[in-house]
Amino acid sequence: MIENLTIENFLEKLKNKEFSAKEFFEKLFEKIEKEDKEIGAFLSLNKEGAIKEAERIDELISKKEKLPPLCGVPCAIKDNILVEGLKCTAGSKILENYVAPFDATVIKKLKEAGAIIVGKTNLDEFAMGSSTEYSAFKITRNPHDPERVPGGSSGGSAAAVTKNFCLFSLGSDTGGSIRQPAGFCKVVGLKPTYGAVSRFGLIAFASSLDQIGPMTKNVRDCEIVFEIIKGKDILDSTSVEIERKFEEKKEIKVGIPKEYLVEGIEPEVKSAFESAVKKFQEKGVKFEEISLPHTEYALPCYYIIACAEASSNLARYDGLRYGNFCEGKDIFDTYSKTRALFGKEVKRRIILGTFVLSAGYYEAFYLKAQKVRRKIKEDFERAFEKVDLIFTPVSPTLPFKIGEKIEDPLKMYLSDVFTVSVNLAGLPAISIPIENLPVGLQIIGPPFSESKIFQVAKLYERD
Amino acid sequence: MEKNFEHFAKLAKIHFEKEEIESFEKDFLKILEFVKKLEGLDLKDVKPLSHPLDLENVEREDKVKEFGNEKLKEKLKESFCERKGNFLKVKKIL
Repeated sequence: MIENLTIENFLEKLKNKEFSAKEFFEKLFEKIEKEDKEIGAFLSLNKEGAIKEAERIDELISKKEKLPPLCGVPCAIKDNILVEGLKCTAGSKILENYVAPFDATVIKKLKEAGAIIVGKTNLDEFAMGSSTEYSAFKITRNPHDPERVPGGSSGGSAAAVTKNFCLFSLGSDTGGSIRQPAGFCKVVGLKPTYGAVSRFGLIAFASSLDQIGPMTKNVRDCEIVFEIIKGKDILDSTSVEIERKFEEKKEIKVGIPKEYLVEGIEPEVKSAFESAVKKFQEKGVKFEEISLPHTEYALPCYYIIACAEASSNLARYDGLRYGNFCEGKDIFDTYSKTRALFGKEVKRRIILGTFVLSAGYYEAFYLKAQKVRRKIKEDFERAFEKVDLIFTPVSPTLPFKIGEKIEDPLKMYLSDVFTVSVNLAGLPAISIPIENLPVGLQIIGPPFSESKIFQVAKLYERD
Repeated sequence: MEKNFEHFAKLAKIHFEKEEIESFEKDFLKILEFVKKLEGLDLKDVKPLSHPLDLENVEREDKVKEFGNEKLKEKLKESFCERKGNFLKVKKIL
């Protein structure tokens, strides 16, 4: 049943009483319990809570009361976003038994809109990874080929949408963690402009890069969810109201950065990208080559900044305030034994972050990376003087085999080579599936141009 | 590198088993080599950018506001590793 539904036709059928919410959710959980054994999209389910909520929605419908905009819509939430009363592990042993004491702002908004949370999805520990293999609890398999990874770090959220375990999910994106798994799992994923969506209640990885965003079956659903979760929040001082309006232009000019289609990109990805561009051309979109000259420095710049911020953000896991605790002989021994519970990749990044921020290395690494960050942002600003949007592939490769890159951190980092610049510059970007391959087309826009991105992305779907 | 991996592990307050250190150090040096790519860039007059948005500082009156209710406060205290009533116990610092 859920297989053929989008958010809008789900709402219509529910209101027309073609099914009851309770009946729908009971069947949905039956499906998840059966099919998720193979995939591993979820870390925990919210069956009891969801069915209770479904009963409440049915009551609203029978009383003919005014219905909220996402009334009864099933969604899955990445397990680094707090949902009151549910476990929130961030995929880490250190938070194995942590139960969220309150709702993240995005969750508050979704609940007010009537959405029903099905469960919490798997992720790389603290959202650090590109394959969901760095989760401390289990791996998630790509629904299109279980031998391969679903991408990451929001791999569970992407797989849950592909498998129709929900109508949409939320992920978080620090360097590509929504867009790359969306590409690998053939779903739509949006990383909003930095500040468009409140980060309150998102377990912090790198605060100047993190954004929460929707993952959906199509662009329209993505737009619907984004409209609900966006907006200024007093609890996140970096959140802003979107005021920028874009006039509807007849002719849309798109730039293709020459630095992105170079060696290292798999031929299937390149040819899928080129065919997609052709389809847009047929619909009247104009293309031109542009240059983002600092592209090759984006990945090292990203790893310095993201790890520096992570080393500071993750200092809070001291075993005292929350999470697991390992008794040591004194306070420092307690800290370091507790923090030994972090997984390998998280430890690598904390150490790198500690190093680039330490006396004697700060100028040569962290400060330099911040300067490069400005150059990268300026590259985009210059490009957007000439073009409305920028197209690139989301990742240079198709989904790789489980285990293929797990022992080589640098190889894993290269999965993010096309996505990290967008986070450094704080821009919005969507990933849409193209050519029926597990590869995404990335559409990047100027700050707060989400509406334009949706408008152009929809052109591809209208076939 | 003048200071070794163990120095930064100590700063980060993470305990590593002796037999892990070699492989972590190897990865660390590899990643370091990779991020050194920025070395060659001329960034003389470039101002560092710490944040993607040009935000102004948010200022407001310093008012005490209740965060949540008693239930929430109790839950926050509950997640503490050790407590006695309203006292949250930490390890001895000095």
